[in-house]
Amino acid sequence: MLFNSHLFLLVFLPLAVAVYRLIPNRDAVRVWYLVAVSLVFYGYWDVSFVPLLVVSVLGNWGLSKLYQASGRRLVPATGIALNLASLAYFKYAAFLVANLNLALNTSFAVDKVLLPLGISFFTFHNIMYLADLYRGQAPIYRLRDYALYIVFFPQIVAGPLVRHWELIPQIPKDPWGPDTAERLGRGLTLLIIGLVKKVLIADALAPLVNSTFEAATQRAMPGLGDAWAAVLGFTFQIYFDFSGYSDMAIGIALMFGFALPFNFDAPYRALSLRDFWRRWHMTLSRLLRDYLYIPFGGNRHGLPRQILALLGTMLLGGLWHGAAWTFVIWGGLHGIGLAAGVLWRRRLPPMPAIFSGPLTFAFVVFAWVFFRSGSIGQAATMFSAMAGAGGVHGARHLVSILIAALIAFLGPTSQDVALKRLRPVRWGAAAAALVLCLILLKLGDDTNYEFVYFQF
Amino acid sequence: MTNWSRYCRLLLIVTALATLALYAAALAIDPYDTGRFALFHRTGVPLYGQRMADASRGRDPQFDSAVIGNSTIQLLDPARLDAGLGGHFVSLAIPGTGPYEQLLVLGWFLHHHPENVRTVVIGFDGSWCDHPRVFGPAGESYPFPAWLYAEKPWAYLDHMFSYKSLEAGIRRLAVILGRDPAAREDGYNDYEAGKSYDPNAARTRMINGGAGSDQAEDAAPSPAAPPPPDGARPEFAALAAALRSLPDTVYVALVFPPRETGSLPPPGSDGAALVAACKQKASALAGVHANLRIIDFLNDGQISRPGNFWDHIHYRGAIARQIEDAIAQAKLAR
Repeated sequence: MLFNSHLFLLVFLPLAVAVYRLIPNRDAVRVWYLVAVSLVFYGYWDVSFVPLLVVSVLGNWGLSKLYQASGRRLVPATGIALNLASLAYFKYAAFLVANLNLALNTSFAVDKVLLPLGISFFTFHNIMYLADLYRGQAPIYRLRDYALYIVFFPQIVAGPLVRHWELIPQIPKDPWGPDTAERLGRGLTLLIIGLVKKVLIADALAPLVNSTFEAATQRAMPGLGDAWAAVLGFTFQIYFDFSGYSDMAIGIALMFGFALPFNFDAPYRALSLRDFWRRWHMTLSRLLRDYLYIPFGGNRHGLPRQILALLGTMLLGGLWHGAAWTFVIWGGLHGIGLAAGVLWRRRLPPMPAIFSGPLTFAFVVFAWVFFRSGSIGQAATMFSAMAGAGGVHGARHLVSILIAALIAFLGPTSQDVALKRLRPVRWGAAAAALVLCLILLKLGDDTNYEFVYFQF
Repeated sequence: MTNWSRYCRLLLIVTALATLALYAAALAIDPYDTGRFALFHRTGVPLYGQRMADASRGRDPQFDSAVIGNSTIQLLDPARLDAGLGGHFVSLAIPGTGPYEQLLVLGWFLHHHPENVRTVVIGFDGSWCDHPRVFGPAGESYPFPAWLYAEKPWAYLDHMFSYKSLEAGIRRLAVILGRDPAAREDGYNDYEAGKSYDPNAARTRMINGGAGSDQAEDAAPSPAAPPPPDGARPEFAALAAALRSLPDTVYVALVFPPRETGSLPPPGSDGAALVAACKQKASALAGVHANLRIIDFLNDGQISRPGNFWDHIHYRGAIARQIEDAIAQAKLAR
């Protein structure tokens, strides 16, 4: 189920927390309870994927035990390959076959495979653990602890990408210690902040973005103003949507006594692309760094190798986001941009922030066009429209973009507000409550039944 | 209690109280005047479109007769029907709807008039005949608030817990307090009003089959799956069930509205066969409800001349007057 739904906020979460408080406060009970709750959460989308998840947990944990017994590094290596194969099957089979057909002029057919929710995330959790096992940097965990690491519901669908050594050692910590109320208060507030970002900001930008990008696939080329509004709108929509989701996940986990790593740190304030990737989807960035970039050679084997490592990392990082060339191009562009940054830093004096900030932002916005477009053709249409090929018409929804921009550029980060600055004052609680009330009502809205074109 | 415990408690209590208070307010204001849980018993709603307004009209006790259908029947004037047939008509015609939505509205009207129904006029346009839709939500050309017309209140209760209901509640409050005008009670919505007739523009709309114009929706086949191939049409069974519940005193007129000649199915085509089958099924309903008449304008002839139409399926006022008269005459000719 979605975090931003009545079912989750009014039934699932209160019930899950209340029962968590009532069950015996022992590790085993708490962990199995959270595993069960997480499977319910996951299975609510599509119960048919629950067995896959369970097999994934049992299989990967089984491999760790096998490695413990045999000591052979082939075991985790095989595990990594199997995980990648399952990801390839579920996520990339159609893409691979389509491109193969194109390249070889063949016509292999592939059945449409339903993508299990969160597979990119839980597969990577498994891979990270097996890779650490391979390097001799991971212990063998108990089944229940490993299961919780993989299925923990706040992070299973869209992260943050947690490392096993960040989450599992927190399990023995008593969730009902003296700081319980503070943890619940801060967690709930972070959840509300995440909901505000998702429901009130990102969702408000969605119609404008969708309608213009949709138009670019079909008939008319959007006007200049609309094209820029859509691209900027998407720039802020994806930030508030994704960082809002991460805030919700971190806040919810905190309510259960777990601190998850932060995922966003005001990324549009970045002064370079390197800086951007230290602030955007931070848990993915460090994963790419530690499990791709550094193994590819990182910056320790000379400049050419470093640039190749950057390009390779970002191309794969792009592909991880989805099985389409637009994602590969998006990743490739970021790879090129990062490589250019490396060269600049080696040869030239630092760029003043007044130039580097806007330049970084412009580059990121430009690359988002590929990320959002369903095809390269659609991206090309959007670029043409942004250049004025569709006429110089005015833009709509500028106010919502402006508000989003102000918050993204000037506002404090959610974690700063909820986890540091927040004080338990009465007016703060009342204000958070009223915002939550507004969001609950907003979540009840459905289709618009009134149509302007029903004139008669 | 620590400051943080107080913070948590206050947050939860204020959320619960504020949410419940707003929900209760929305239910009590009854934004769509459905009569469920309402504090105010004054009927009438703000200037909503027919989809949202007809729950109020459909339960208005001053009416004993109704026009059901879509925009191809909405030009029938309730006042003229009153004059020709007696009784008091409300137009519950909702543009863009098919049999599924129309039978929900009919059910709602009958449910709220258990004693005194006098006449029911139903428009049998393409959605009943040669442009069938899936009978159910999947067949909706445009989203329809079925929850508003449902007999059980659960879906309504669910939908009322929303920001939109609150906004609608504020709009209705303005009507109740006399600050805003209420929507027209009898539901009559003349699509010719305020427009001048341009034969060339009408011609273009006809050639385009309504594509790109506001009038397209009623002719458009359902975007969802095609109807069952065996010709099973559950909407006829559902209509028959509704008719069975009516006493014989209720006059039911099934109207096949006319179409511009170019949009009639050519003789011998699949469409023509569907129309013929549909007319047969409609006639068979007389076996279910004796006081039922078929008013058939779906023919190629004088009536289907282009000059009688706004576009391929929407006729002009003079034709509406003919249909109103025909409905009255058919009642006398029993």
